Amino acid sequence: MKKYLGIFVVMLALTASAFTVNHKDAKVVGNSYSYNLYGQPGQDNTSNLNNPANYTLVSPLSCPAGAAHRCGVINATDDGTGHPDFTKSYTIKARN
Amino acid sequence: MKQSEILNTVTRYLLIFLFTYTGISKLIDHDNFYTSILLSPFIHNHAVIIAWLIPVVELLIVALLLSNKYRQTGLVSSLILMIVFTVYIAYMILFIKYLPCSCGGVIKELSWSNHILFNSFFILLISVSLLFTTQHHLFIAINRTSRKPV
Repeated sequence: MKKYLGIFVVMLALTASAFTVNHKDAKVVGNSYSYNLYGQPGQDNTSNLNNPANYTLVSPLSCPAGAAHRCGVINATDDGTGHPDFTKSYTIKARN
Repeated sequence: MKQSEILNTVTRYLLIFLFTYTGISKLIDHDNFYTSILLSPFIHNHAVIIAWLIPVVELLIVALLLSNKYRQTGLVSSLILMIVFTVYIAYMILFIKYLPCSCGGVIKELSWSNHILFNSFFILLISVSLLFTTQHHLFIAINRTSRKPV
């Protein structure tokens, strides 16, 4: 019995992670924000990407065609000032 | 000694669950995990390697913990990995103004600060478990050399 307990725990973890991924792929909830610096110099700079002030609330998010750079975030929570709260989960949108 | 065996068993299976969950989650949601590493200020240059290395190491630790022979190695590796994660999180909180999302797979509802508490709990658990195991091995070694019946 004890021999199979490890396998059971692994299966349990696999099931839990499967439910987590399904949850992430659910329909868009939360807000969408457009990245203001898309297509501009410094757009891939880490401090710019992580700065909520560089994002504008939009509905829905429409990313223009272009290279593989971030164009916005969806499923984000507002920080109360019309910008995304990056301390909570969100989904990055990039355009190829 | 029975209490230490219970603690060791509970610790072991908790770690098996945790690292299986985090490793598989990071592999399934690899793109998001890779993106979150790209946002980290000092490891983003190695994002491609790290994005694959971390989940693979986690699953390797699970294999070690499942094995009777390498269980101890798995515990020590778990401790090292948790300490590395905790130091990284502490650095990010202390020195980085704008924190990227901490949603690298597991427990993404936890804030960065709560993540430190979560990791610290496991570091403590593993440390106590290793301490009991070491004491047990010393106990056996001492009594073996003393040739006295225990």
